[in-house]
Amino acid sequence: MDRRDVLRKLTTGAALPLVGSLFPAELLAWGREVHASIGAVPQAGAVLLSAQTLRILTPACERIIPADDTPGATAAGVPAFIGHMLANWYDEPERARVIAGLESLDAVSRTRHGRPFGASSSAQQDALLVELDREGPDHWFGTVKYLTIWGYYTSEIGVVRELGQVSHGGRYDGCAPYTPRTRAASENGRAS
Amino acid sequence: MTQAGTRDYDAIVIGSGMTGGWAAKELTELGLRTLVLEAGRPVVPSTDYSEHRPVWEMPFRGRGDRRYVNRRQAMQRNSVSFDEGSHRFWTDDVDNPYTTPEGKPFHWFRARQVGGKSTIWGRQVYRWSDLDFEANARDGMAVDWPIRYRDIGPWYDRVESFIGVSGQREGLAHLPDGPFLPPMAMNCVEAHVAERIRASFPGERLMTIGRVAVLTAPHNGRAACHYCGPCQRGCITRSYFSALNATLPAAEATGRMTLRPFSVVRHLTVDPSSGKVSGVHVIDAQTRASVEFRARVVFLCASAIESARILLNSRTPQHPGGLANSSGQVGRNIMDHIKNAGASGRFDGWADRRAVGDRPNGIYVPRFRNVRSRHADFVRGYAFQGGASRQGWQARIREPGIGVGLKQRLTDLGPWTMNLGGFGEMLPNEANRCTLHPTLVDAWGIPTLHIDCAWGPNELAIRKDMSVTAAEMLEKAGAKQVQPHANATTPGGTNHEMGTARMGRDRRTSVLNGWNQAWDAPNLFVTDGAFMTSSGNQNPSLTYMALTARACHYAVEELKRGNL
Repeated sequence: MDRRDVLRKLTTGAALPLVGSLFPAELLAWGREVHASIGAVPQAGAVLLSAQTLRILTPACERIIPADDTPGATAAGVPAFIGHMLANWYDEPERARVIAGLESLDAVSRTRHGRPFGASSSAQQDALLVELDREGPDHWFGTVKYLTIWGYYTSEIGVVRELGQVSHGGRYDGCAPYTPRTRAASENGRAS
Repeated sequence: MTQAGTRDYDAIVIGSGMTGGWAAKELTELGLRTLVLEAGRPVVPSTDYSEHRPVWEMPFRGRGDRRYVNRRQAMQRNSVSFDEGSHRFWTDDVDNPYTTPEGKPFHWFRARQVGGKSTIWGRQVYRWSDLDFEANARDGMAVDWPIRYRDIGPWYDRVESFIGVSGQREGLAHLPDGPFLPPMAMNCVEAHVAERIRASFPGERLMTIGRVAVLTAPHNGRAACHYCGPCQRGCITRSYFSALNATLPAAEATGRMTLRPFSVVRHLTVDPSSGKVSGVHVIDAQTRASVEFRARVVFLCASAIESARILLNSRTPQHPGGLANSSGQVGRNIMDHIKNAGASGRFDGWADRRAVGDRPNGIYVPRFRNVRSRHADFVRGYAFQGGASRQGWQARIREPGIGVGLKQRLTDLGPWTMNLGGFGEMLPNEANRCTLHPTLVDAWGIPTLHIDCAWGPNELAIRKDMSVTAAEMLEKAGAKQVQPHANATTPGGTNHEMGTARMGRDRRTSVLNGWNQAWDAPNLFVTDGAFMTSSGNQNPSLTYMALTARACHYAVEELKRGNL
């Protein structure tokens, strides 16, 4: 039996004693395959948020974690994740507080910039969000930002593309080289 | 031959976890037709394990369904390795209630499925020595252990050889070495701290890599660890030891094991003329039907407090205090290990280094208090576990700012920090006990427990000292911003509960003799953590497994001699 046969057999769960003959990277790959076959992940929360709320939330998430040389919060599916968490993880008062907060952000944008938050410029959006950020983590915006970061860095894009955590070949190296990611400057994604 | 549907066996093992798995393996390999009763459901590794499922495929990104958990597992969730993938390996708190006195909480972590808590254990394994077995006698406390290291040493060898333990030989008399597989590596900061501790406290303190029941080389048909990380969600390559991964398959291979899940033991029945256990009364968890099984010998391996509960629930008019309880010690002397004290500090070097791979292990500082000298404030001692790592985005999730600058700061690894967390010995105290609740029953109508347990002054003195010596070592190693901590912690929280049916030399003051055999019922053996006469500071499962194997061989010899 060659290695390929062993792997194929393992995915049926019929040959557990054979795992000793595999390389660590093969074990990891096989394990992923087994778990992927367990079943589809339930599609998170049908309740989610109204189109109106999403028109405010989506650009807010994207300005918190923008696309630059890696994708940002929108591409990583953060707005839907936040909708799911507000619907299924947080309690009703917190969900109401965040939705009311997003609506107030829209109202302030109309007053100050003469257009809804989603239709204002990136610079205008940033100015409003920086103000909210200064209110600290207990403010409703603190919840949005917390969920944006959590959602982004636990998304496939966040883990694989941004953090670069790919299969490590099944080894442990406690003293591996590390260089911080260098990113291209981006007009759209100005730092704050 | 074991007939389907038979109710008569050579042996019955109650529990399929850490010790039940060992009893099943040893008894079947010694030729006994053995029934293993498990209160919970079967576990199928290929569908119930989830260690390789990426976090983004989990509906709650690893944190679990908060509303469900708050409703059904509000207590179990306190366990350190409880997460979205592993929560199914803890019990449902609504079905399995217990009570504690007002203001005296106790964390009772429980697992009801095939494999028990061995699927979610911490995998750290350390031998005891006579420093521990002689402790009660030396301090004049509780009762003396009826055994010494020479009695258990060969059984440690047997267990470690089977389960596979990776570790570094250190030649310490009070933390004996075993037949180790190659040790896991320390990371750069840990290696530095280890070197500084040896230089600063020569002959007194040292830091070694954790001794862990995780394979670093293929062993007995199981694969070496591939460093994926979340062991508590299962291990499809069987690289860490659990009943599911090793002992139950070995028992199964003999053809003499009958494993019966969904079998909740209500009580044991006793033959009044012989005093022996005559039957095991089971409630089928699915049908709620009662069924009684019989065997020549019974091993109680249901976990320390659960086993005490079964003994207490086995009361009769002749034995109103419960089975095997003429000493009155069943349910008493609950011990755990005190934790949540130590120190952390920052290391500014090694900015160009990181750890790659998720090592399911940390470092270990063996006990150094009351080993060669005597501490003024407390008896016994403690060990440290911990490790060094670089902080990730989770540590900076409240970072101010937005935009690319924030993204960069979140993505960059933070400085190295090193943490040392103590695990301290808890003294036996008869007042720390569980009793049958007068009215409260579980989902199967079985009386549940009231648990009354608190730390004593010796444990609190140990906790204080842990924060002092941890900070001292980190400072000697050159850490910056060293922060000692000694936080409140709930008894039971370390998940090392033990002591509720202690061994001893005298049937008037102990429940079991030196072979884990009940003084009052010679065909009953209790080999989970209940037998512990003192707690040591070592993670206890290795000692449970070794004495289980020893008791099995003794029981089979006694059967052959016609003594049971």
